[in-house]
Amino acid sequence: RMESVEDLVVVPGDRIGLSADIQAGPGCYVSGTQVYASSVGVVEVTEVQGNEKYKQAQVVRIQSRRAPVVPTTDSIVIAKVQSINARQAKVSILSVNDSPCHEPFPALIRVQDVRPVFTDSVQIIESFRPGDFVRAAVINLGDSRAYLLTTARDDLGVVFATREGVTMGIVDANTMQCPRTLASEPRKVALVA
Amino acid sequence: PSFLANLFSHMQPWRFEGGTPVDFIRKPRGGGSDSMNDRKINSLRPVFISMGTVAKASGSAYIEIDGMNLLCSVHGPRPDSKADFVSEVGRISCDVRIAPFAGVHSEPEREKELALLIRPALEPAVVLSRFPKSVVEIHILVLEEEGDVVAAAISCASLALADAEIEMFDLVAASSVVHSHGSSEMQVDPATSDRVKQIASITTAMMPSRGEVTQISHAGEWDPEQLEAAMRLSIAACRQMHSMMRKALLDGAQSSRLQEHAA
Repeated sequence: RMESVEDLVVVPGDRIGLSADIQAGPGCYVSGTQVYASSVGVVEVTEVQGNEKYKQAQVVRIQSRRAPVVPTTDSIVIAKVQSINARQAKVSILSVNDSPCHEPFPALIRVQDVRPVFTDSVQIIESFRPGDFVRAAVINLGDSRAYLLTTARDDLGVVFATREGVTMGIVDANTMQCPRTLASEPRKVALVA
Repeated sequence: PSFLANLFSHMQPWRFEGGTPVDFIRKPRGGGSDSMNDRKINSLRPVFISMGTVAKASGSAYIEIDGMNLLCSVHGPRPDSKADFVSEVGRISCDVRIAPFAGVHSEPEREKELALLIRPALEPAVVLSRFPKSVVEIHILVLEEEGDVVAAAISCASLALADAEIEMFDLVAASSVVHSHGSSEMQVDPATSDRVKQIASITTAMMPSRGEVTQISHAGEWDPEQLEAAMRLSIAACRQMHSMMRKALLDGAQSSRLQEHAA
């Protein structure tokens, strides 16, 4: 029965199987005792870790043009810094988990969420500047105007910054340097192992 | 014209070729509307569906039903600037424009009224929890008006949402039934000529796979028994419309798949 639904092209509302047999993955939903498709595409059945009999079904769009992309809690985003003040940096989310957004989502990084340990000495001006691209994690949906992000991890922070049009290189976790003028600027740098 | 052929050459335009228990009477394009004498009361007119027509939109669908041309484009999910409070679920917004050349004089009030009829029919079908704090904008452009706009627009918008990869519990198919002067019978999928003398009409939008009706709107005076008969007729017509919509989506997906395998 599992084999018969694999590779089947479905539209929203088509029944895929029993919820006792299949876990609903992306593109599927559960209603009552059945799993239904919620997207147009082809059904892919994959193994569920740690469970031999239970399988997961997902509906994968064939030739997906632009799948809907929305920031969710704990997703990793790339955002561009629009403006800063003493309390926070206002950013625009450009991509979520490596999928580009149709339109940028407004977000902000508060000063207490910039570094792993917050002390009075943490300053936004020494962490981000307008025009920087940062990798951040979504804390939660924030308020009606902006998502709430954090860079309080070693692998989060500025990934790309320029100084007078020249791309800066990374010196250490707190410094970036212009290769031409050798001038250093403080940043909260994302260190990817 | 050849430029039109180039415009549509990358898509698989889909035309219903028959094969259902219900009769379809074909009329040449531009021939105007069917009269009640020529068409059975429970038959839908031929439908042409084309998906992905608007390249810049997240998703789009174009529908032609014998003189009615509708284009629906979907944008989103987009950040919702109009929200006052944080919402764990998204919302959909609907905007209707009737083109100046659509053949019918239309005021902005009518466009707003149409949008108010279309949005609630679609909302229950969209999985709003997948795009919190965001809005999916549905734009409907009526290029040529004939018959019932609302029913065609709802079906078209549902296809456009599917094309935009917005998750839905089910497709929404809509259909209307009209009871006219001088006839004891009702007509499904009315043409403008059927509506000119109408006493009453009912438009139903439903999610056929789930068997749930999302909206019923009715105008005029119905006898209670007639109303029930009209609703059943309308729901049956919705199911027919749904099978055509479903076939259009599946054919599109299959041809994409063939393209993918060929590439």
